[in-house]
Amino acid sequence: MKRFPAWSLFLACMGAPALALAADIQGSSGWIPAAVSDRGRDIDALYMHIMVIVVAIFVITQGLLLYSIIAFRAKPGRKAVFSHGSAHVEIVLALVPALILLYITVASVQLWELVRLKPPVKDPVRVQVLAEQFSWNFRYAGPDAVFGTPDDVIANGEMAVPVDRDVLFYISSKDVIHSFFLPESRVKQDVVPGLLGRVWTKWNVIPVWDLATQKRVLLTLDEYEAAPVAVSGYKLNSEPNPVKTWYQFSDSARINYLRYHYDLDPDGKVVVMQGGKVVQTAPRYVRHYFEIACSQLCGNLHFAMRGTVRVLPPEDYAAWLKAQPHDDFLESKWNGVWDKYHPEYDKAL
Amino acid sequence: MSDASQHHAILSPAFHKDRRNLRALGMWLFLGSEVMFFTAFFGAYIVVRSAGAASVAMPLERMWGALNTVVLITSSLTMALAVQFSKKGDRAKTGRYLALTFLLACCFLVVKAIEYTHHFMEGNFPSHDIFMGFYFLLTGFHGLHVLGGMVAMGILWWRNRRGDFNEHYNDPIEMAGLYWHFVDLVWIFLFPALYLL
Amino acid sequence: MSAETVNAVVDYIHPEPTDFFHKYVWSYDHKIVSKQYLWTSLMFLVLGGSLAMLLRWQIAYPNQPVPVWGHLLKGIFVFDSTGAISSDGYLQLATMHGLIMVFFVIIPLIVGAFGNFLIPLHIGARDVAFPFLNALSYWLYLPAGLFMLASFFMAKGAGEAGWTSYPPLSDVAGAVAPVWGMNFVLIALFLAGFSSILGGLNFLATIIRMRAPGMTWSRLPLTTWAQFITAIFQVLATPMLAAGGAMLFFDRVFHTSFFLPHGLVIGQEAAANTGGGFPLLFQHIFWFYAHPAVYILILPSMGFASDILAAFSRKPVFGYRAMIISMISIMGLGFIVWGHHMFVSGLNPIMGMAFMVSTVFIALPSGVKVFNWMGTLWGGAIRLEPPMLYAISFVSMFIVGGLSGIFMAASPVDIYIHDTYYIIAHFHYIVFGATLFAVFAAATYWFPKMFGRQMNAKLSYLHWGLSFLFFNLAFFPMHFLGEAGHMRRLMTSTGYEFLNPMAPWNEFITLSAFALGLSQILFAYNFIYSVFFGPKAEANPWEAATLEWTIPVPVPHYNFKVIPTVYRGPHEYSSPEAAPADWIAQNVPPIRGKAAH
Repeated sequence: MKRFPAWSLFLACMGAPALALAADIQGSSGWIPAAVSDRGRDIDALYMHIMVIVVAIFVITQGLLLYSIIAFRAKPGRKAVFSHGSAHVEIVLALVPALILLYITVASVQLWELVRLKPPVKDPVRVQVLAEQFSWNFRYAGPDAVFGTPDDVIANGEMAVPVDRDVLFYISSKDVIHSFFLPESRVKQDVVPGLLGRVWTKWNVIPVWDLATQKRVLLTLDEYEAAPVAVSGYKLNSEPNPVKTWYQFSDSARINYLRYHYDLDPDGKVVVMQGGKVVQTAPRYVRHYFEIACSQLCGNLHFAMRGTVRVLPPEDYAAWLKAQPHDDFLESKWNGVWDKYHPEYDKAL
Repeated sequence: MSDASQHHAILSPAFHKDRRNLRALGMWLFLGSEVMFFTAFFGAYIVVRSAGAASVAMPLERMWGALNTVVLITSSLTMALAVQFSKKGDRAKTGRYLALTFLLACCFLVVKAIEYTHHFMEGNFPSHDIFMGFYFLLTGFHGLHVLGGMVAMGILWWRNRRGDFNEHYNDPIEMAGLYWHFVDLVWIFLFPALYLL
Repeated sequence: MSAETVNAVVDYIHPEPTDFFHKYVWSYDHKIVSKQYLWTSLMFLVLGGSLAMLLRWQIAYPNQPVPVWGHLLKGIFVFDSTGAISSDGYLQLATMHGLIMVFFVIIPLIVGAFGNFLIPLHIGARDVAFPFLNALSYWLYLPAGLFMLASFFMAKGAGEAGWTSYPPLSDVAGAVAPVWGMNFVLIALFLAGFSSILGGLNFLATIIRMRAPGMTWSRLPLTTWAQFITAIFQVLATPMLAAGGAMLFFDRVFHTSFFLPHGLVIGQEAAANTGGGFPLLFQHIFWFYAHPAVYILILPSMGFASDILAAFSRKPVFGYRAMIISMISIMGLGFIVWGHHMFVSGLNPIMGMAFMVSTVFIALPSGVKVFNWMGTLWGGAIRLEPPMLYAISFVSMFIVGGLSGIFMAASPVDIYIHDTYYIIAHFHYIVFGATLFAVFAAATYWFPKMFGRQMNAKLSYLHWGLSFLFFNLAFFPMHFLGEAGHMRRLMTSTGYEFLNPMAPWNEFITLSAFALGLSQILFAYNFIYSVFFGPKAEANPWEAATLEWTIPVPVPHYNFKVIPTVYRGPHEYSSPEAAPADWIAQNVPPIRGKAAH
C-alpha cells in the first residue's frame, strides 16, 4: 500500500465505521414509521445492523474508487503495475465478506424462525381476513368462539383489536392475489385465493391523534388511561348524536379539524375556535387508527384498497364487538367463499 | 450437383467433421432447452397430481395411446434407418425411410385428431377440469413438435431427392434424427404420465 | 478448425451479399445482425423510457392532465377523458415499461447487439456457428416487438398485471381486464423467448467450438466469458418462461385453470374457470426463469466493464481466474435462489429459509468481482476517456444496487420492504445504473470498430455527468420511499396517511427523472450524428489488446483474412514483454523467446 499515505488509510478505516455508528445512534433512518410490536422492533434492529455494515462497505468502496481515479491517473512517465492479481488478497477479500454474510444469515434465520414459525399460543384474538377487489373484510368468531355461526362479528374496511393481546389473522382472498400489509407492525403476507395464510402480531400501543401537534401519538394502555380521554373527532363537529356511539365512526379526526383553529387552554384541553369564537372544548387526543395497505397489485383500484385497524382498551374492544351490526350482504361473502374454501376453519381451533 | 455439395467437395473431410460436430452441439443444446420446456409442464403436472387436484376422473382411452406409442417408436426406428442409409450414401433407401417416417408421424397426428374429436364430442374441452387442461397442454405442444418434425422431414426428403446428400455430407438428416428421437422420448414420458398413472 | 482458403470457407458459410435485401434485411453476417438488434432496441429504449416518464408524471401530479401528450391523446391509449392517466392506463404503463425494458431493450442490446458483434471477433472466428439461426433470431425478435406495440391498440389496452403478470389477476379475461392486449403480450414473450434461446445456443456453440488456435478458455476476453455464462442461462431458463406463458395463455384463451383455484368470485360473479389450480405455481415457474433472467441482464455488462477497465487502466484484470470462478458460481447459485421473490407469497417458511441462505451467498461472487474491478484500477495508469468513466460509474452504482439487495435477502427485513420502492431502487440501480451505463461504455468503446468513426468525447462527458447526477437524484430517494413502506404500482399514494409525508419525495424523483430522460438526448444525438458524420477512426484508437482491434475498419465481411493464432491473455497491458510500449496484442508472436502468459 505504498501509494496510500498512512493517514488517509487510517481515516478511511476509522471514518467509515464511525459514520455508520453515528447513523445507528440516530435510532432510525428517518423514514421508517415507528414499530408498534416486539417483532417489528426486532426487524428494525436487524435492518439497522445490516445498515451499519452496508454503510461501512459503501463508504470504504466508493472512497477507494474515487481515490483510485485521482491517485492512479495516467501521467507522462508513469507506468501501470503489471500484476494479474494476488491469490492472498483474493482470499482475504472473499473471506471477509463471507463472514459478514454468514453473520447476516444467522441473524436473519433466527429472526425468521421467530417471526414466521412461532405463532402465539396463549389465547390470541382470532380474525379471519377476506380480501377482495378492492376492500378488506374481517370476521371474528363471536362469543361462542366458533367461526361460521350466526353470532360472528363481520366488518368491512375497519377492524378493531384489543391492546396488549396477540392477534392471529387467517388470511385468504376471494378473487386475485392481494397482500395484507400492516406497515407499523411490520406484517406483510400475500393473500392468495384458495390458500390459507396465517400472520400474527401484537399491538402494545394505542394510536391517538394529538390535536395540538397534529401528529399521531402512540400511548401504552397505562398512558392512555391517564391521558385526557380520547374520543372520536366526529362527535365534535356535528350535533351531539345520541344514537351512534363514538366507536362506530371511522373518519380521520384530522380531516374534521382542518377547518378549525385550536389552542391549548390552561387545563390541557384543546379549545376549538372558529372565527375567533370558542366553539367547543375537547380532550387533547382523539382516537386514531393504523392503516392496512394492499401491497400486491390487484387491479386498477389497487391504490385505493385501504383498511384501518383500531387498537382499543379491552373494554372498548368488547363494546365494539357487541355493537357491530349484522349484515347479510357481508355474511354472504363468507358463506359463499371462505367457508367453501377453508371448511376446516369453521370450527374453533 | 447442388451448390452445397459443390462447396463441400472443395473443403476437406476434417473441415466437414468439424462442422458436423458443431451442428450436433447446436442440436443438443436446442434439445436441452426443449427438455427444460417440457420439464416445466411435467413439473407442474406432478405438483398438481400429488396435491390430489387432478385425479383421472375419466380415464383416457389407452388403446389410442398405446397405438400412438407403437407408431412413434416405429417412426424412430425408420428415422434411424434413414440416417444409417444416408451415411452409406444410399439415396433411394434414405428417401424411402424418410417418407415412411413422415407417414408414421402423419398416422400419429391422425390418431391424436381422432382422440381430440372424441373428447370434444363428449364435452371434454381443456376447460373441463385440470386434468384435461394438462392433457391438451402436454399433447398439444408435443403434437406441435411432431408437426415441426414432419415439416423438417418433408424438406429433407425433397433435398435428398435433389441430390444434396451423400456419404460425406448428411448432417441435416442426422440432426433431424436427433430431434425426432427426442420427440419420441417425450411421448414415452407422456404416455404413462397421462394414460397409465 | 482446419486451415482452408478464406474464400472457400467464407463462401461455404455465407458469400458476401450483393443486393440490398441480403445485405441489410435478411443478413447472415453477424455484424449486420448486431446492428439490426442495436437500432431496434434503441428505439424500444426510447419507447420504454417515455412510458416511464408518463408514469412518473402521474405519481408526482396525481390526476393532473399530462402536458402536450394528454391533450393530444385524450381518451385514448392510457389517458382518460381529461388527459390525465387513467387507473387502467397507469397499470398498463407500469407493466409495459417493465416488459419492454427487460425483453426488448436490455437483453437484445447487451446480448443481441454487442454479443453478436463481439463474440466472433473476440475468439478469432469468421462468424457465429449458425448464421441462419442468427438471422432468424432477429426476425423473431422484431415481430415479437410488434406484437407488444400492437397490444396497446387492442380494445382494452395492453397488459395490466405488472411485468410479473401474476394470476389470477392476469388470468381474468373479463370485464375489468384487457383481453387481446394481454394475449398479444404473451405471444410476444413466446416469440422473444424463442429468439433468445436460439441466440443463446448459437453463442454457446460458437464459443465452445470456433475459437482460434491458441485461444484457450483462460485467454478469452471477459466479455466473451460473460456472454458464455449468459447464453447458458438463456438456453436453460428461458423455456420455463415459455412454458409459464403458454399455461397462462391456455388459462386465458382456452379457459383452463392451471392457476385458478376453485370458487373464485370476481366482483359478484363466480369465475368462469372450473378451478383446481394453484396461483403460486405460476410464481414458481415464472421466477425460475426470471431470476436467471436478471443475471442475463447483468453478466454481459460485467464483461464489458472488465475489459474496458483493463484497457484504460493499462493493466490486466485483477484476478482473471477469480472473475471466471465468480461467474460460474453466479450461474450455479442463480438457479436456486428464485424463491427469494416469494418470501411473503405464502410460500412455506422452511423453503423461505433455504432460499434466504442461497440468496445471501450469491452476493459473494458479485462482491469478489467488485473487489477485482477495484484491484484492476489500483496501481494503474488510468486514462479517463468516456468509456472508462462510464465503466467506473458502472462499478460505483453496482455497489449501491448490490448493497441494497442484501437488505432484501434478509427475509425478515424483506417482509417489510417487499413490493415497495426499495426493490424498485435496487433493480434500477442494477439495470440502469450498472447495465445501461455499461452499455454506454460499450457503445462509446466499440463505436469506432462498429462504424469506423469516433463519437464526440465532449458530448460523451457531458452526457455522463448529467446522467450520473440525475440518475442518483432520481433513484436514491426511492430507498427512502421504500423505508416508509411506499408500495409499488400505486397510481397515487395520497389515499394513505402513512405515505403522505413522502409526497415531496415523489415530486423530486419525478423532476429528476425528467431531467435524466432529457439528458439522454445528448447520447442519442452524439450516437446518430457520429454514425454518419463522425470523424473517421483508426483501427485501434484505444491501443487495446484484444483481437477485434487487430483488424481494419470498416471490418471486412470475412472478419480475419487469416485466422489469428493467440499467444497470450486478453489484457497484457504494461507487461515486460511489451516494453517499451504499454500493450501487446493477443496475436503477436512471443518476443525474444519470452514465455507467453
